[in-house]
Amino acid sequence: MTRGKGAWSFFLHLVSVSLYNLFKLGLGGEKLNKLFKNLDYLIPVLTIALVLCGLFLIFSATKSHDTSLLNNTFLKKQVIAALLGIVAVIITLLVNYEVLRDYAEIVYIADLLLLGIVLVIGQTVKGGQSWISLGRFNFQPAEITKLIVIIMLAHVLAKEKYKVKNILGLIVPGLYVFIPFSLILLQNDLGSSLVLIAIFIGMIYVAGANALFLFGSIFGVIASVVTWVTAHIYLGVYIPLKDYQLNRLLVLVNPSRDPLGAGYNVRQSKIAIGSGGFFGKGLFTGSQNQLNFLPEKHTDFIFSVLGEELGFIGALIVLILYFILLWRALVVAKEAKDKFGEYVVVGVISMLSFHIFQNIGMAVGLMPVTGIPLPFLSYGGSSLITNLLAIGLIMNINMRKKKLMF
Amino acid sequence: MVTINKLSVTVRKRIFVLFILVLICSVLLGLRTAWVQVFHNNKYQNKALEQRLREVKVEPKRGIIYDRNKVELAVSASSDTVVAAPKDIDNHQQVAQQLSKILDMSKSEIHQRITKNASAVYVERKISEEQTKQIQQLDLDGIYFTEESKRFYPKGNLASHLLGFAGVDSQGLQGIEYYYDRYLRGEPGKISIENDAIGRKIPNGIKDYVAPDDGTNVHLTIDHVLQYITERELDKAMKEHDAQAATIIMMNPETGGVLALANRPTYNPNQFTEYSAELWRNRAISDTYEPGSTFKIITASAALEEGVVHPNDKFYCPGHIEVAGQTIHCWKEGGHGKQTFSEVVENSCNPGFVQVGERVGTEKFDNYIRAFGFGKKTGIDLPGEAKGLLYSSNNIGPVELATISFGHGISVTPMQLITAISAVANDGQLLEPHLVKEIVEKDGSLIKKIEPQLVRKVISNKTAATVRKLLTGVVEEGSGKKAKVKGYKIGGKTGTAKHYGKKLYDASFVGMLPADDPKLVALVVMYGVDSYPYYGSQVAAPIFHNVVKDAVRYLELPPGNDSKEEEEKTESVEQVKVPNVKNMTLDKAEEVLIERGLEVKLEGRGNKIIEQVPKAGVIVNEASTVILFFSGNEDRKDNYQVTVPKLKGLKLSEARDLLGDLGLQIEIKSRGNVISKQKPNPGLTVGSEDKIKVWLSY
Repeated sequence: MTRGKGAWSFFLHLVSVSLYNLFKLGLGGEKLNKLFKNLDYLIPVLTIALVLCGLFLIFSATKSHDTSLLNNTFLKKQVIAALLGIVAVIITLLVNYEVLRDYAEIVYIADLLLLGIVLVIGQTVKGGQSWISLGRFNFQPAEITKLIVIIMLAHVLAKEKYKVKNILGLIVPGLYVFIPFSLILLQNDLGSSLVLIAIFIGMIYVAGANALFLFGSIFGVIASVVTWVTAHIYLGVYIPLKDYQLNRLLVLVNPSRDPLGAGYNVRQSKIAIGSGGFFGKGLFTGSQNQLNFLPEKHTDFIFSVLGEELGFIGALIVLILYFILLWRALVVAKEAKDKFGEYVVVGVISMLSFHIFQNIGMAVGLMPVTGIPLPFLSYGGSSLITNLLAIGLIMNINMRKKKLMF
Repeated sequence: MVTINKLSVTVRKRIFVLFILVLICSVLLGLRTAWVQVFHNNKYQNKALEQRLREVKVEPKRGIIYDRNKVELAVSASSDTVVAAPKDIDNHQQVAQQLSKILDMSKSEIHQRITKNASAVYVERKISEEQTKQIQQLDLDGIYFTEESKRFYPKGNLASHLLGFAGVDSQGLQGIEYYYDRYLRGEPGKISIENDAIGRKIPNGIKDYVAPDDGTNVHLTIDHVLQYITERELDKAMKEHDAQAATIIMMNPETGGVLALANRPTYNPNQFTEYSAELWRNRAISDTYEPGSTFKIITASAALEEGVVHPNDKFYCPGHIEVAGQTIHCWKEGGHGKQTFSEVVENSCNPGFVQVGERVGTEKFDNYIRAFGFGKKTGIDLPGEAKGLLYSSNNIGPVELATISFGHGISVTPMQLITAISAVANDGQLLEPHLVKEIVEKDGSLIKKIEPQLVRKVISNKTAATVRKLLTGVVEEGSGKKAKVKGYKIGGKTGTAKHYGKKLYDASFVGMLPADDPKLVALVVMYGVDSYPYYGSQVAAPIFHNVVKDAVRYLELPPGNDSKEEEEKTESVEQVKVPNVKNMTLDKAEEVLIERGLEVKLEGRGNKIIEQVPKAGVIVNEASTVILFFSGNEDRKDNYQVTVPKLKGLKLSEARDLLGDLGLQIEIKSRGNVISKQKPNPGLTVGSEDKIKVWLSY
């Protein structure tokens, strides 16, 4: 049972810290009712609405003809994860987020070790070696890594000595991201490693990085990838991408390419969404979903189930929920008490936005296929708990925002 | 404070930028979603249906083809097709093994089919009832039956070329089956079955059932009895003659309806795949031939209609005619001599028709040929009709005009010819030929009735009647005698055409009856006859006779005013050399003479023939009488003395012809073109076997 040890000790550590802080609180450090008065309730309400929506869609995506609501293991697991996440959020809310800065480095290093362990003993699922088995549950360290990187990066950027305006000032924060990025990439989880890049960009931007340099780099990277791929196709230049990864990029340009391979998922997703129409085919009655034409429908393509069964109306409502959530989170960032809090919130927003836009973009054929889940909706405990904890962080920072100045 | 404020302004600005980015992304995704879901909803709905629904066609039952008396000529019986659902089969090897024992297929072939990655595959189509039963007994999972209709032609070969056949998908491939396919085929129904992504059938997944709309029935103008008669006679004729192929068509001239149409060689449409595709060819409409003298009916019609010739006009046939410096020979060596136009027709005299053609003139003659429908499809309701070949009118020189006048240098289909001749039979009205009388829905409601279609009036009633009268003469007194059916006035014309450069002949006869008001027109063509006899008069006319004799009896056509009696002997067309029968017995002599088409007249009685008139070696017309004398009756020979005709001025061939008719022999004393001197002199009476000496000069 050595492989679970790191995670457990980390968990125990968290719990003890929480209890300690509760104790501190009980001594009259902060007043609970005052804290909750600050809270923007839209944030938890929207989150829970999305999670509930997700539960319905997961059930729809995984129900077969003879399994009842109660026997659906996917649903059960997701409900447990949601409850766990909510409990965890409630506990963490009681602890001032500033405490995180004290543990940022140690947790970060522990996480890197965890990622290293995964590489050695992790289980391979669908080409990605990113799972650690914890008895009955499997755990995906890459998910929680996102949060840890956010905290670590915010901690570093919030230090006065880092001047990210200066390009050289980006090197140290860059390294903090680059190490876990590489480890996750080694697990073959391109999607999650790209999330780290998104987090990095979002945070250093708000931290004051040279905008021209930043967007120039982003554009430069995209342009060079396009050039490289083109050169690879027409001139046979070497490219360090696996065939399926290359195909995922190419089907974006030409969806009819490889209709049964890389193009299949996107094609089926578009058919499901497109055939849903304005009002949808009704929950649990989407033919493409129910007849298993949709691949990965309870995880990466949950939005396609939504689009098919609840139609444009349903998709639009979910999009609006996400938008309001991100908007409210940005307000929290703006009103954060300190730079650390501000950066953490921006990091979380970057993470969620990348997930949301990439996942939905993929489902409607605007983005290449990278297997990253749709926050709160996709099936997956690690992802759900991580995202809930991320929301918890935002709420935590929201509750402890700076006083209004008159 | 100042720096903090300044900083927070940047941060606020940048957070606002992030907000804008989030907004843009959200709007973009919203628009894209709307694009896919709202604006292209139909497209994706169709795609979804397409991959989800498997449509299984339900074949309609093909319509029945009836003859004009509602006798079934083509019917559809349902038979079972074995279908496998590969995903529902547990043990593919075993199933393949079991099926291979019943079906006529190898185990590996079956195995290959039932392991295909498809929701349903045909294992074998249209199997027998016995096979169905055996497979049903095996009670195999994943093996099903669907009903398909199989075409059956209850009369086998009968009318195969006009019926054609339908393929395994019940699609018409040839003949009526092809031409009227859209009526016969019907509309397939369908069952839509919903599948999941790996092709499994969904329980209760049948979404839609559309019953097939069965094909409509087609009633032909064909009469199966007449068809039978023609087929029988064709079989007989093919046995008797060395011919490559044969065609008979019978038509009702008053409607253009085809009563019978058959070709040899033929095939059985029930097993059409076992025959070479060449045998499927309906040469009656698809192949052309040189009509030869039968085409003279067209020449005569044109000339009479134009008024450039009358039945009593005098013609002279010296055996050849000069056209633009070229000599065209009459089929009869020595020519026909003096004759009226009626006799020109009866004798089928080529030089006579050349002159008639010249009188009509190139342009007008060409117009008539085209007006009679040559060079153009007749429009009969069969696929694959040929147009035939005509000279374009500006390529017709005097020689071409001359040859076309007697039916050479033109190619026609049998259908074109009988259609044109039917116009003569039908008072000059050219009708569109057809095979289908009506198309009737299964419940009896009429969908389409084919009425006689007048193409144009080609010649006047009077001309048509005159031509028919002339044609009667051909059968009564001319080359068509063998076509004659006792009690009926028949008009007709023989035709013989030699294949270019080969010793092969197309012998034909076209005739109509009763000639005064024809109810039946028939054409017999024997293609590529390669041994004697090959003349239309000898080959085709007797077949016409056989066909028509039974046809009139079946049709109960009342015998008309039987014209002249048969005993009237006239010149025949063919010429034969009289054989030597001296010293033969009567039986033997009769056999020898009749074989050559000569008649026998006996003088006296006895066993041994001691004398004959004419003598051996004399060239006489076919059907001439040879008189045989028996011992003890030699003196009677004197009764057969003849008066020597005047030969001076005649050509050698003409003289030979004339003397031959009289039973005299010719002895040539000097060479030349024209006879200048003869011995004995004209007017003297000589014995029938005597020689006449002639001197020719240039």
